[in-house]
Amino acid sequence: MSAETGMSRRAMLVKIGLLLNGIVGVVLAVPIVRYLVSPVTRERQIGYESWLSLGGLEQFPAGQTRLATYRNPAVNAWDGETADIACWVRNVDDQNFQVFAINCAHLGCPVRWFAQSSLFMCPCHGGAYYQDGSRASGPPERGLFQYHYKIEDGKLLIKAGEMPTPGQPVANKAGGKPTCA
Amino acid sequence: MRLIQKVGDWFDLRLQLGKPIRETAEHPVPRETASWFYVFGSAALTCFMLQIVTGILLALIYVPSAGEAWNSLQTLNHGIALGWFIRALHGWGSNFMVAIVLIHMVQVFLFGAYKFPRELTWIVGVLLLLVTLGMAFTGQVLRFDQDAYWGLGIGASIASRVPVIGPWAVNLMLGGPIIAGATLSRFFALHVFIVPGLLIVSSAFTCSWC
Repeated sequence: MSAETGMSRRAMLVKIGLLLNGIVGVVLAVPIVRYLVSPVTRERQIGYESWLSLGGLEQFPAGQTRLATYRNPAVNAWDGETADIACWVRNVDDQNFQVFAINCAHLGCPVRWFAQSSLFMCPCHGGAYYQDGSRASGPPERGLFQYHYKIEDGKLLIKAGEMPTPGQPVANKAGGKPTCA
Repeated sequence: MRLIQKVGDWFDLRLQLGKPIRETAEHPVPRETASWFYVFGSAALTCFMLQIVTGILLALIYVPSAGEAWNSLQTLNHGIALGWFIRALHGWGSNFMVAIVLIHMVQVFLFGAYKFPRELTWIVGVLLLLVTLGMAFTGQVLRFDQDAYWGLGIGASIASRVPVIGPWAVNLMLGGPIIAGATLSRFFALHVFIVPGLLIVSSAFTCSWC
């Protein structure tokens, strides 16, 4: 034990060793954490939330609700069938449309349209919605998520690319308010 | 600081690990062994730990399918933040690990550290060398590029020369009669589950015996 510093040579070397290990640890941890959180921090892929065609208007007769699918705008080559995403299109009066996400607002199961009862019903926990997407009964605390839409050259386009979840209702920017044309 | 001490004490009272760890760290060793020649065992272990961490990170993105392996590596290199860096760490780390394991064995051999009572440590160490080389070979295959394909051809040609069971060994290695998607799936299982399992178990033996 040196009288001047009160620290032995051994304790000093142990501390220097720990410091060097700590530096190496930080140098490794910074890129590793950045890599790990990249699904949250990275910029969205090109095409994310772009206008996607659901097809010609003739597929959606007035007063009816039809199933449509769109191709996810930001796909990887190995996405398979998960790149095709379903949604419900309601043609109110040929001027106004509503495009609902297929996901129930409770826990995301795919809702199905029953024309006989004019209800969307969820197979998982009995969530039910009226034809305009508002909540009818069951566990969901809100109506169906809706996509922005527009009509161009006789085609119905929606803005999509992110799964709508209750905590992050990206697809619900159009919800609640009257939909714009 | 006081809180950390108290939490640490709570765990140590139940785990009883503090005392044996302290005793191992403070175990007196001969003066001559305070030398850089004895660093290669720990260096190899450090390399292995780095390989485990970077390997898990790569597995978050990599797709073990013959049709998509290469595409997923392109995404890793260009589409993921620092993906190229993690991949380079894993690739260079594997080269370093093979080199350091070889240096470690040369040191043990030259210092006569394989003699009684450490013969079993040496025997397991030889197994560890083979397992490390196995990790390097199976890892290279996962890229499933031209290197991997023709490397598998070399491996199959070597396996076929095993007396009597050669032809069966080739089919077992390739998961069928020819290099295909099934080959990649089984090399993925070897690289990620089977060989690392052997590596962890046998390195636990040599690290605790030395």
